[in-house]
Amino acid sequence: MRLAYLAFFAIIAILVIGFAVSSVRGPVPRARVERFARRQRLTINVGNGEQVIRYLATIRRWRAAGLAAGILVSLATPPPGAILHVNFVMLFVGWFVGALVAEVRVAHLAHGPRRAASLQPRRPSSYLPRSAWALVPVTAGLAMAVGLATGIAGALDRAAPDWTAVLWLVVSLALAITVRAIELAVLRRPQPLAEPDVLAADDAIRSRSLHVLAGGGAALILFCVFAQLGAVHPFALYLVDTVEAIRTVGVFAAAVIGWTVATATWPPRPRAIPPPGVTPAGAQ
Amino acid sequence: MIVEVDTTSPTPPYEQIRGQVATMIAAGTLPAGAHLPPIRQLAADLGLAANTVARAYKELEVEGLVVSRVRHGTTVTKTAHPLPRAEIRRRLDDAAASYATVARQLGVAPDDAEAAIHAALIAPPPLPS
Repeated sequence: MRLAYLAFFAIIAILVIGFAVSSVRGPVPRARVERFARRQRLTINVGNGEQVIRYLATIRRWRAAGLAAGILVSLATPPPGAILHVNFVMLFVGWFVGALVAEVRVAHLAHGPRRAASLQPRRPSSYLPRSAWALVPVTAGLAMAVGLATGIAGALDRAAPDWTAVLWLVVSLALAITVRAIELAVLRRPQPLAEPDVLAADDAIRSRSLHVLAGGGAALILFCVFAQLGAVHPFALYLVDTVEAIRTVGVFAAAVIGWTVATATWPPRPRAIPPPGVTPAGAQ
Repeated sequence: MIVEVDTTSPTPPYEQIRGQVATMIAAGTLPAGAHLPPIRQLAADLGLAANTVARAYKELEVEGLVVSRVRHGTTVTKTAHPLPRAEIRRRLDDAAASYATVARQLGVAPDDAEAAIHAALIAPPPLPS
């Protein structure tokens, strides 16, 4: 039985890896480039097309690798009694870890021997709404509030601490710190002076990365918060049904929030490519 | 506002940054209260060490042209007085005279020299090449 399961797992693993490899080989589909351009209100031309395609190829490669890893981990760790089990949160975790690695790996504009740069500070509000930028710290604060509430309730009840809830709190905070650090790294990614269309594409890439990190990071932290709620102390037996309802609705709401933020169009108004000699707005 | 650093110049990069920012403040291009980019941002954009930009900012602060505050970043001070128009004119005339000398030495016709200046003024800022 064990041997049969291993053989079955090996076949599935080969299929998953094969699917991941085949999905990232070959050129980036035109539809994907057009979708990126539409979401960022970016005009793709010969000057910045290759830059955008290179970015899309990098994130596709790492996100697919992360998703494949998530599928494999999910298949390799079935709950007791199950043979074939897919945990969609694990798939999302794999995909998001791939997305985080991709953002670290994205190449920035190259420096030349003559080095020039804008003196305008780059602010998050140039790349995504303030509400989206605040999502990760807000959800981390929510995780801390839930952790504090369960801790106080447990102490009042004189019960032993629930280490599952503590573990989820630690995971939430570690996730928030990691996502914020990568968001800041994306914001500080070098942007030497270049042609306006190249700078506009660089800003669009930066903006899309920040949207995905904010949306995906917040969704994942919220999943951890709902897992914390799942470990709520028995002191609140009369609240169990309410908590379960909140968790059920909350998981879907978190997914919707994450997706909405990650795929939102930015900037709200069409982007104008400035005339020669003027630094584009996004570079400010 | 663009700052440019020539890594082959004998002038140290921090001094190039300091000089250009000081000129922009003096000319009023960088007005009082204007925010300068964070040290790490400018260093990354210019491909320089953070210490280089930090030294330029420090020198500007010593001159009283900028002030650095935690969480607020570096801003141009309100006490930084812009250059008088006459001084700006004088510096521009000096630069034009230097350019005219080079153009004469190269044997360039006045029309071509003027066209080169015009093109440089409307062209995009210098690119890494």
